[in-house]
Amino acid sequence: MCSRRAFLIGLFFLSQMGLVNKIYAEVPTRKNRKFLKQGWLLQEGDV
Amino acid sequence: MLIDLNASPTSLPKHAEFCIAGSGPAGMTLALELEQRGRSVLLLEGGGLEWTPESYELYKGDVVGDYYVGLEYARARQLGGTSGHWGGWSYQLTELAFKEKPGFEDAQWPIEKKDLDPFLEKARAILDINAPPDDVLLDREFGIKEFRIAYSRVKFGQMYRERLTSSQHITCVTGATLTGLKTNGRNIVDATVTNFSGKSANVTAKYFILAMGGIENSRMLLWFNHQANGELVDSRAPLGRYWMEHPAYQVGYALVDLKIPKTEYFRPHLLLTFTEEVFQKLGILECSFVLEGISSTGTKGLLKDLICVAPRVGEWAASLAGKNIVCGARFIIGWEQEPLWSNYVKLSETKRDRFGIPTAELHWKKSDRDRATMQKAITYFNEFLMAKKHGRVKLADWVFAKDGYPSSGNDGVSYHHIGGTRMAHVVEKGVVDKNCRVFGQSNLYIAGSSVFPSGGEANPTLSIVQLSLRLADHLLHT
Repeated sequence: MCSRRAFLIGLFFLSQMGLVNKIYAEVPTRKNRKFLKQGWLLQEGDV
Repeated sequence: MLIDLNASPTSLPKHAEFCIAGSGPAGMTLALELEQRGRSVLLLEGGGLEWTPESYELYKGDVVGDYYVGLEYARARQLGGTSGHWGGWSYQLTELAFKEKPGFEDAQWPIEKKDLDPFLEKARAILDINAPPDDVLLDREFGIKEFRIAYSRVKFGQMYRERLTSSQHITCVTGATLTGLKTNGRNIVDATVTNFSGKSANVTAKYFILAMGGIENSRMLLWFNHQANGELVDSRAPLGRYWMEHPAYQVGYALVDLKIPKTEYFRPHLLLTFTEEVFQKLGILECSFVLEGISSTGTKGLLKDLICVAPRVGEWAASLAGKNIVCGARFIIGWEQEPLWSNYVKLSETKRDRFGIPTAELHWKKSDRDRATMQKAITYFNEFLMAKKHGRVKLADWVFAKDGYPSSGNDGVSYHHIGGTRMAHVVEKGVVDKNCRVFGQSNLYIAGSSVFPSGGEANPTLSIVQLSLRLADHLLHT
């Protein structure tokens, strides 16, 4: 029983980590504001 | 055998097993394949061995709607058809092109890619090309693919002229315009062929195949149907409808650290597209990008401009340029146009050609969803460039405007004429069935890109040749 519970808890944390990593991986493509300046498509930090 | 009907007006054979109208890639492929299997073919070509002012006149027509080049410039009436001046870019339609796409119900084929695959190797042999290297997945996260293509140098009129001349089974007649097609309601009984002097003769055949091009197939079938008081084509069929192009524009420039490969016949260019999952996620039809390398002077000019506008990213780009890592490129996008009932070929009500046949009137307009395809694709591609630090793009003002496209020269034009006699399971959705047979007629078939229900993002010629080989196979087993 104990090992089964540990397995399930471990599985839960692993799946959450996967989700977190996935969200984290997408953040860099979403967080920077994009804008047009004299035709150039730029993001914050470019200018 | 090769005959000029203008020089020998009485030389038209009276009967053939297969009568094919049009000697471009579709008609010529079909004729050569049937010949190889020992069948007798009459191949009619409306033009001569080369382009002439007379044949040019016959292709004049009108365009209503978006900017398009004159129809007489967009095709060639000569032996070998428009392959006489094509670019030769050859690659297959993707599996996605054939599939049902949510939100684009009419962009679906009644056949699958696997139905054309058996004819790929032979099609490549006809085009004298090898299989290109496999596509490369450049970025898994963003689903960005580099795709490779083959470049054919085959002009069908030049390449296969000798074979036609010496053929025992093909009688190829130039200067021979198909001007009439008589039906008894279920079969084509005979065809009328006319030379430039107006001298006509009739021919009978077991099968008739129209392979006259992506505008002429519609125009002539509309005319023959009109002559037959509507008995040739089922009135429910969308004849002339769902006409498409591959809209293509240079949308700006790019400074990228991606490797732009050299090519044998063209300027260096990198061809990119998305994976099927990305197209589905974005809810758009297919598209591709061409990054065409520019000179080092042009690259320096772009860098200078970027440094002025955005110094931080400009300096980063300049540091890579110092190591010859960054390239300047023309940024070009081409996309699959949404198939729409409202884009169509019709017969002119006021203008006729030298044979008294109404000229073509092309009604063609890109939809709001076409514009959205372009904008969403560019936005997504730019996100990839930024996120993966591959560079920046500079866009023309019109790209993200609400409407309007550039309208001069080749703007928006790929010279790919698609649809008009589309293929479908049922007559309400198409003019031909999945075997390219005109619904309601037992011996009338259509070859060429006019049967494509949707355009995918591939240049159409390789698929046209594959479809003609498949049609030959079908005709020989019917």
